[in-house]
Amino acid sequence: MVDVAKNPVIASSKNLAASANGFYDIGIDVGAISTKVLILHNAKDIIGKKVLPTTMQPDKLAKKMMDLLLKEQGIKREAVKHIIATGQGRKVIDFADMARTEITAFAKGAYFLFPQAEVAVDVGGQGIRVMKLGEMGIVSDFRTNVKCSSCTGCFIDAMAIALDVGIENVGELSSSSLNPETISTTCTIFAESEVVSLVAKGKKKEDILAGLNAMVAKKVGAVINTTRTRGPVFLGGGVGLNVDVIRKLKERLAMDIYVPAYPQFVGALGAALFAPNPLIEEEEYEEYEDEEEKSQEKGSFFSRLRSRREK
Amino acid sequence: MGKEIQNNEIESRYLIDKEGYFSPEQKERTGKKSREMANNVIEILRGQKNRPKTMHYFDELLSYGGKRIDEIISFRNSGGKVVGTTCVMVPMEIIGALGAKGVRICSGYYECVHPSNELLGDAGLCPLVKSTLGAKMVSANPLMDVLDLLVAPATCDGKMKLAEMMEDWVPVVMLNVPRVKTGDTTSKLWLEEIKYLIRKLESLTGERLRKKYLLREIRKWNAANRAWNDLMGFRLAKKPLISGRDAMIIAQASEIDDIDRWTVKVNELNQNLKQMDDSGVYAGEENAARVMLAGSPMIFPNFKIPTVIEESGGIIVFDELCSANRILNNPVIVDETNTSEIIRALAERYFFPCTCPCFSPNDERITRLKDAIKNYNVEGVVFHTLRGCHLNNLEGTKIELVLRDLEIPMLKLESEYDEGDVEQVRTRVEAFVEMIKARRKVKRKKKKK
Repeated sequence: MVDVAKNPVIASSKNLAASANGFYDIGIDVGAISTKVLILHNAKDIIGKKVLPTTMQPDKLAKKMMDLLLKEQGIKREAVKHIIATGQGRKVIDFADMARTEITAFAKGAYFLFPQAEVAVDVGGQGIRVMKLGEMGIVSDFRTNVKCSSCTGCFIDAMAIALDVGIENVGELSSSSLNPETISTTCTIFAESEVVSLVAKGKKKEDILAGLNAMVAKKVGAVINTTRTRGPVFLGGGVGLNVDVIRKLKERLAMDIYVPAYPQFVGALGAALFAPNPLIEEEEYEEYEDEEEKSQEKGSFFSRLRSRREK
Repeated sequence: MGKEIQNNEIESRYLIDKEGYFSPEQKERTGKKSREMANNVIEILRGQKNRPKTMHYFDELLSYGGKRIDEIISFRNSGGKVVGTTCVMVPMEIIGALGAKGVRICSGYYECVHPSNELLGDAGLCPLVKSTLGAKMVSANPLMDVLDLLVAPATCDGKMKLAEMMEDWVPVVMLNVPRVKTGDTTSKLWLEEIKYLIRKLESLTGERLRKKYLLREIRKWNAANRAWNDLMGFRLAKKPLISGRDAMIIAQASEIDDIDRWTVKVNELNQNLKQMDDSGVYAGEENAARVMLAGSPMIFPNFKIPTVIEESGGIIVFDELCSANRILNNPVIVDETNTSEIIRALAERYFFPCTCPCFSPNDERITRLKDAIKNYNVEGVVFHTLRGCHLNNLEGTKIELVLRDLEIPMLKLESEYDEGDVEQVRTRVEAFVEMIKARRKVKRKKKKK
């Protein structure tokens, strides 16, 4: 049903860790709900990853997770070339070498995993972010949810708690529904009371969940449609684990949707990919270059304008 | 003309049961918080890299309860008339020529929104309108307590009803703005409205509009226009010498300051900027993304979005806001000696180049936007709409499509005066700046090939 693109970059970690040559980069994605840490070897192989709920001290948590991962893989701290942070809490990670926004990092990760994608969709804990990918995977346009984080990960989380269902079972349980209910409100608080009243009416859990997932698919689909894309779509983020949402979204958009094997780690992967790669000589073109070299021109506005027009 | 100012018999339509509603404590709190907000913003502005000292003059001018207020109060006490305006479409030259002082009263204070919310309910209305009304309701803006007359062009719905509500305190002259620019009667109607304004101002000041004074005022404002255009030249440079926020406060200062003194100060600043240019000192970050700001007005101290842009590695090189560049970008060209022809020239200067989205057709806006993108090497446009600014919201879509053809990315932000969404906005703006910088790479690689 769902095209789960097999993640080509997961290598057998033991062999790689043993090989002394190569370098490691770490991507840390401090999301609203969970923190993800990932070790990347030679800028292409993921050799270790970890996800834990974000705490009040994300920097300490990330450090702990990173140290644990390094220990598990038997990698020395000195072998790590760069640490790049992303996510909402990226600025808190003081030991990171640089920080990138979750939008740019996710797009980078998406382009790495699935370069054919026209849009990359990140449905995370509190945000729906849709990035249109242009040439060389550069973001050419992006849309996000504004002000309200309805129909994101935390929404499904709250509903799962209200229904007393484990979050990891939501997708499968909902897929088994034969008679989905309709949920009419998108507000998390109102939806919760609607769910409670449906339970009181004796409705089945899977039917209620199917209704909720349909609503999530509708909202995510609406954000995707604002970019006027025809697909294919790459979808990641925690909600990518919910197979029913993906199926419903696919029906809704009538487009191919590709979900990686580890949708939660796309942002962290993208962050790690931002590390300068010593294997590829890449020149930095960050500087703003004026095509016509107007920097030489001085004087008032009008004289500059005049000299431009004369050219 | 059927319109008459009814000084004595104003019917309280909106605020009839709100007399004495606000306690002195609430008034005091609003004033205190507004002062804090203004001080905070000025502190942030003063923390900018390589900011010329001359800018302090403009900071003080706009600061809450600054010296300028005292000057205006003493001007009024000595018999002068103070005329408030709510829009850039009011010809300041005419007000000045009649010996009155024109001041724009649009408010950017967040705290003043609350009294309006209590009156109007939180109905998704424009925060600028609510803040301006609220400032008057609780007397939080000393400027508004010294008005003898308010001139309000009926542009958008919010401004029109704001003027109507303001009638409860101050006589209002509402100008009927013809919103269809290509209409048969448009030009004639607007000229008649300006003539009506002149009559009203004449009866307020007790003087007649004389050509000598009108020409003097036009000269003054044209000199101000020139000074401003020179300043814009420093934003055009490869490395801009002045930040967008500083330019914004300079432009806004012109609307309350004595225009002669303002021009002198701006020319002085231009000299300083030239010195900076010669010694290789620039504003903004290294390789900052060149951003254009478009959309709804941003009145001091509501500098949330420009601050986020300039703190996230961007620099605002141009704006098309009626609270900044559009105040001073059109000099009046007088080629006639006849007073009525001068008035016509003035009326047209304030009407036709105005690219407010309340007009249709508004192709002028697109043309100007395209020109500015080319001339100022704009790399991305941040289109900002205040909540409830339907006109800008609607036009934003059209502008986005135009920009797509030009391959200029646009970020659309909707926000209010409160600071609640600042981190969300920051993430999006940072991603936007990252995107602009990444595009440079692609552009260069393509060029190399």
